[in-house]
Amino acid sequence: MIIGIDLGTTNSLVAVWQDGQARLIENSLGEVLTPSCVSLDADGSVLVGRAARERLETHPDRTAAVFKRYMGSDRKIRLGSRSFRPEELSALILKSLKADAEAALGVPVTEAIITVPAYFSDAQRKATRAAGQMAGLRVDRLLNEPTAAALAYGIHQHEEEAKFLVFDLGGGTFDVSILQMYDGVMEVRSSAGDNFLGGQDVSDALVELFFRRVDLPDRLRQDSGFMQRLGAQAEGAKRALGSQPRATMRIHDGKTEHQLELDEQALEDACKPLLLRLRAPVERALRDANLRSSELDTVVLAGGATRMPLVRRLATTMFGRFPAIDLNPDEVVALGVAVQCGLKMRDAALSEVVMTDVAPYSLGIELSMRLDETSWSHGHFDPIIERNTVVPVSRVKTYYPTGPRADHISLQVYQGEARMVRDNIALGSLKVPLPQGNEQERAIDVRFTYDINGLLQVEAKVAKTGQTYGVVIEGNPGVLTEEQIQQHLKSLAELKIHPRDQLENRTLLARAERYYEQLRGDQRDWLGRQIMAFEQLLATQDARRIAPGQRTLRDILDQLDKSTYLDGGSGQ
Amino acid sequence: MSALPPFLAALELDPATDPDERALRRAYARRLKQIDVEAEPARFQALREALDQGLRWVAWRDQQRPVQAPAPEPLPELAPSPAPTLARPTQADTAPAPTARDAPRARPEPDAGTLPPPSAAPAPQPDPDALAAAVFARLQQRIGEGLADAETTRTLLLRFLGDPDLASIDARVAFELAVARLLGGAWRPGHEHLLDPAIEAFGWNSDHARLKHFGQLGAMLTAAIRERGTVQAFGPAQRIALDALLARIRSEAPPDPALLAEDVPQLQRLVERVPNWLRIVSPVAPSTSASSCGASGRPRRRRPRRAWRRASEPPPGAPAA
Repeated sequence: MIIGIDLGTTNSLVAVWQDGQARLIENSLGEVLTPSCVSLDADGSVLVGRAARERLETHPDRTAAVFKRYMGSDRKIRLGSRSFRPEELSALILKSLKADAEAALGVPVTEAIITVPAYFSDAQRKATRAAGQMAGLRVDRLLNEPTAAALAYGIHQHEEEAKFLVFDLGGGTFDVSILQMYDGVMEVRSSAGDNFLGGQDVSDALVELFFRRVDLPDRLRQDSGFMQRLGAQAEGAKRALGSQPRATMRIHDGKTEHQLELDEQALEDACKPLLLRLRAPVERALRDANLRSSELDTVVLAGGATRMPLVRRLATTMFGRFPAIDLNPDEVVALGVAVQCGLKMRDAALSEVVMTDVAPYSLGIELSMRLDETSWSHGHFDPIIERNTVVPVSRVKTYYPTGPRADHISLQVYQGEARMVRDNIALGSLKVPLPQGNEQERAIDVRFTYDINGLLQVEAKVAKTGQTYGVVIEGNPGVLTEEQIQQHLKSLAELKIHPRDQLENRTLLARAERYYEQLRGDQRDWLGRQIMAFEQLLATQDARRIAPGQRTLRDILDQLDKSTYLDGGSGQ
Repeated sequence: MSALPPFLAALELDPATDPDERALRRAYARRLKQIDVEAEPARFQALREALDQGLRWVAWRDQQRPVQAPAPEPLPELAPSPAPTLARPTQADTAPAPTARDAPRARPEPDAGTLPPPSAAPAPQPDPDALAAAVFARLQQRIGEGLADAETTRTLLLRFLGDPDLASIDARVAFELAVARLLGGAWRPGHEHLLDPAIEAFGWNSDHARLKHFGQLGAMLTAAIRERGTVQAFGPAQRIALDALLARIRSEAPPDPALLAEDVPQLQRLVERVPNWLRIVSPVAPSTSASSCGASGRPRRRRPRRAWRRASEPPPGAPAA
């Protein structure tokens, strides 16, 4: 069985292809969305998902979120006394999803397809694969998120001919893909995106707005607990404004309570620069597909942030039509990756469907150009694989050394679209020794091979000797070697994972602790006593006694939710 | 169409059926389902290239067929815009598209982008081409009025790009094409200030492929942008001399005979090195410049522009677009 995983910035999901359809799998709390959060509990065990998210505010130094943003980089995230790479934290999420799938399916799971933003770079893709490996999953296939969303939509209408655009604004990334469907072929025509633009940025913008409007001292920014609570307020207000005209952000800094009333216009003003950034990828995707927006049959929204009315309105004006929202934008990517699992397993229901994808960015090398007999212009980018070429693809170009004397060429490999390499992303370099000889003999053929998973291989062949230098791109600190992956795999295995069957109670306690932090005075003491009572019940390990205690505590928390005692409590 | 293009064989198509895009894609789909893309990447790539060649060939053939075919550009023509030198300064007169223009709508001046108001109803969409043409006409008029410098032009261009009438993607593309055409056309005073802001506003430098969609025009602008890099690398003295020379060429005053003797060879060098850039920022058009400068009509020397030049690839079975 292959499972499909949508490893998101904010939430992750797992799904399978079963009985001719995509099925989402619930976690141990009975929910399909597992927050992409990891926390180290007091006893050193690892909490994943909602329990960890509850602890973001109460234990910010032991909890991590939005680490997908750091995938492919060398950045370490500290939880308690241990530091983690983003791959490791992602691996912990994947492990938890894998356990959920195994519990639901009743069979061991060893293989997964994981979705990545279409615009994820080589290093980010490698990091995602490494995370899978560390979680004990074979990840032969990565799938681009907007392609997955399109699969979810397209699978039911693959006989018809259609062109559509997927507008995928998730928690941390923005992707646009244009697809054409005909005769059972689902062909991605173009993809574009922004890896640092998502719903999280909207929340951050509201936090900034709060600091400005309420005139909070900057030192509060150092207080990670305060910042997490304010972030949660921003998140809440953002959501509330989706369904009501006003929302309030409210927070206590220990001395005074601050609050800020927000309406739609305020939200729009706060995230205007972000909304403007949505435009460029859409324009690029349409141009590259050689289409006018009027030629699109449908615009599909995916990603939780497309729930914002603001974003929907913008999409409507950009395309001159209302977008399709038949499927839940939080779930559409997971449903699509399940379809891909079915395709990979050659499920009979999908035998007449083939999907092809593209390389979302150009890949090439640095080039010098001769201006006249004596002068050169350096630093030009020469693409070998142009963006939006259908993959898998292998392309070769021949180059000549700039001078007759050099004994080697150093190929600098770049990814990006700018004319000059300084504005593109360096992927690595490859040193090729050159023989003596004339210009033709010293020519080298540079071959770029880009596979369906978006991983690049570079090969250089010297004309005279025929010698080939097949090199995996190296020198990128964000990419782990196989050996390092194995080491991390081992060290992760030593971590104690919180028992799955106790996660529900642990999550409830984490939530109670979060409320406790927000309450003051008598209410706080009272909730403290309730928490202690529940902990004592848990210690008895007697399920018959724990169950009613769990219900009682949950009811108390639900009541508190509706009160005004908490930050941002609506008092409704 | 005497020889059988190889892509037809690869797609197992009968040339007698005179295939169109639909037929090509259908044939490709049929073959594709017999291939395991993951396990046989080379086979897939060969098939895919056959389709791409076929599509290019069909596009080319369809362009050739009607004699009155439009210029080979993938983007639609703009609605005819008013003559470039409209001397009248009244703004209302230059907006031919009345659809969405209720007269005194406030336009935030230096703001680069304006979102539609929250209540903007999306229902009836005005023609994006007409909207773009109207905004472009206003830009053109302002340029015709003689703008002081690149900074003013930049602010102006960004403001126009933020115009709600350019909210639709299609309108933006049409607007960009219009600006590209203006630059690619004959030089008029003010154009020299437009190139740099246009490169910035449309991201022509940050996206190497963006101008490709403009066909010949795009190729010319691409060359001009590369040449601009050369000019920017000039030393200060060279730069001052260049600016002075360009100012003299642009000036309508009759040339000073004393300076002419120096200017002509200098201009000749520029024509050789940065012909496309020169054509955009000055009235010197490379095709006519040789004779107008009184130099011998010697054709421009061809030399390898790239040191690491690309080896010539076998030409595809059909002419590329």
